[in-house]
Amino acid sequence: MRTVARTTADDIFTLSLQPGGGAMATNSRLATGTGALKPVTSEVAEATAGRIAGKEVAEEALERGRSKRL
Amino acid sequence: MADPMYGNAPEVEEGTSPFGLYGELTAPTSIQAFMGFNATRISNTMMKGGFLDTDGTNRRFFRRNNTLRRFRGSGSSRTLTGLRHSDMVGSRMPGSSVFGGFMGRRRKLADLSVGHSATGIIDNLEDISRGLTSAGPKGVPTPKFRPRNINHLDPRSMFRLHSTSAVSGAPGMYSPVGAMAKTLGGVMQHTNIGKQVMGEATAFRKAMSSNIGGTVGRGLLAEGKSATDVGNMLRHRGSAEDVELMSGGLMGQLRFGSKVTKLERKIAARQAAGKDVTKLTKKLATAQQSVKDLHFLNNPGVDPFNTKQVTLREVQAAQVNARTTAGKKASTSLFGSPGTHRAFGPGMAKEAYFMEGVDNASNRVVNISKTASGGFEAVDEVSGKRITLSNEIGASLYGPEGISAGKTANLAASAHKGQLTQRIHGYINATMGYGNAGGLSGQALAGAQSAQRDMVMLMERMQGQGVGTRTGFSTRAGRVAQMRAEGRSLQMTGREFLEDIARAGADDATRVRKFCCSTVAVLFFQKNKFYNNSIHQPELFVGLV
Repeated sequence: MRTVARTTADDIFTLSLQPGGGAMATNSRLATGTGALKPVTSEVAEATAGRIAGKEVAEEALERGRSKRL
Repeated sequence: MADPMYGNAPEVEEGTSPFGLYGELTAPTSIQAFMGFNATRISNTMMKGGFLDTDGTNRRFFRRNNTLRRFRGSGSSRTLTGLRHSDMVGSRMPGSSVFGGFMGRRRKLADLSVGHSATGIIDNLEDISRGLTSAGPKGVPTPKFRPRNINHLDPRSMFRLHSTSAVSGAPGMYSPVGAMAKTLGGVMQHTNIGKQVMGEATAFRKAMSSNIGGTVGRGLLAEGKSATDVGNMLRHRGSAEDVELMSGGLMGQLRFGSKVTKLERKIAARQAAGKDVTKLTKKLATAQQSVKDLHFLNNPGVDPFNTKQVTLREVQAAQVNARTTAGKKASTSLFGSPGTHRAFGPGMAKEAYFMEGVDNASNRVVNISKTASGGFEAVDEVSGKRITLSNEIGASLYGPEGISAGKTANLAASAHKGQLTQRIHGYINATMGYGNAGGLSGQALAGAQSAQRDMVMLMERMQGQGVGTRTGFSTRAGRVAQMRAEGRSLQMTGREFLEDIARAGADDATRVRKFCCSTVAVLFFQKNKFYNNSIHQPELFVGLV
């Protein structure tokens, strides 16, 4: 069970954002994913999207900072 | 409340960052000037290909001293040669060491060997970490600066100083390294890494037994490594895992990085203007050869310019990401032995992939390299198995090709022997905006990702304090809206997903159920038990059923 737990914590999930709102998640690891799409609450979707968007914006800020075109 | 930019250092959340950049520059002293001199020499040597040896004995300062050369040939045929054991142990040029003689340090290193008490070993580690290399009583330093006037890529000069400690803000060090820490106002002295790596008498041990930089050296002693193993790491002898924490030349290589990046940007600008770049490209090739030379010392046979180290998880994530039908599962058993299997690739073509093993295989190293025919292949380091990747997936893992500003510097960061040194170098490169320039792997990549996370935290902190960011940046909210409009698919691990769920407000089991179970069936296990109230336990997992 321990091995299963560790493997699953490392699983790859895909969150698909939909233009009209709402989001679907799936465990998409090649070997272990079931491939089932499940709806996710807007709070969780926003948390994930916000985290990834924050990283992208930060990367952009770092790159712009270097080019001195702030 | 502290100033968000220059005030008290924020508490660093576990797992978010090994360190942050806080501090200010102060006027340099002669010691610090020496540090700059040394860094310049290393960077010049790397830029010019290690042929700056001056023949001071015969007063021909602008002539190469061939007797000191360590490399034979040039370009791709250049090899390390003529290096004898006596060159490595410091007996050849007794009056030319950077500070003090080698003998004291060597004696202390020798004392780390089997048969000494743990206390004695820790004492010696402490002395070495503080540059106390005297052969006399414990704690008596020999702070004699004797800059050597040779300039070749001698591994002895590159790896002598643990300049990792320069950025760690180590207190009480009287050495160029310690001086540099003061120059930078102790760039990282407020942070965990600075406090832990080189601190008071027990700090070194504490660092070893706790968590250095998030992942490096995690619990080396706590994991049951013997003091001898730890000693071996510090002596660059290689432990059972051949892991070392710190290696030298960091400040010099940082300086080299800014020079070579400037050169790459110049080439890009001239190419864009349609001008001739032959001469500049040749210059770049020399600098890149230096990176290769150093890399070969650490990883013989691996060409850093033709290989990218990634984790198994990253390979699988790239393969998953490229599929046109989301969630299509490979038709293999759940826990097969590690090997190659086939899954649906881009456009539903079947593409080979590595099956993960049962023992935390997602962090296993996979080398991505470019084949002679221009395709990509991946080699699993554990099993040695090899698969061919599609160009789409191979290119996404391999990173930008050709001249990319910052890539050579990133490769230099990835080439350090010391894992912690790699991490710090990668971090600094990313803060300068080259986190996505390619060439980062291993701990250097992890450090760069930490820098980007720190940037997120800093921006949030600034906004929280009412400090407006300048226009021209995308906002986070704007980016989320853009993602949604594009219908993007976002990749994450199970643990990240779990933390997102927690961040969404579900900080206990009841609320997790409230947020998730009505729409997504999420199960939390801790070993054999159902989830209770501890959302950050490492054994937890989230599953969609």
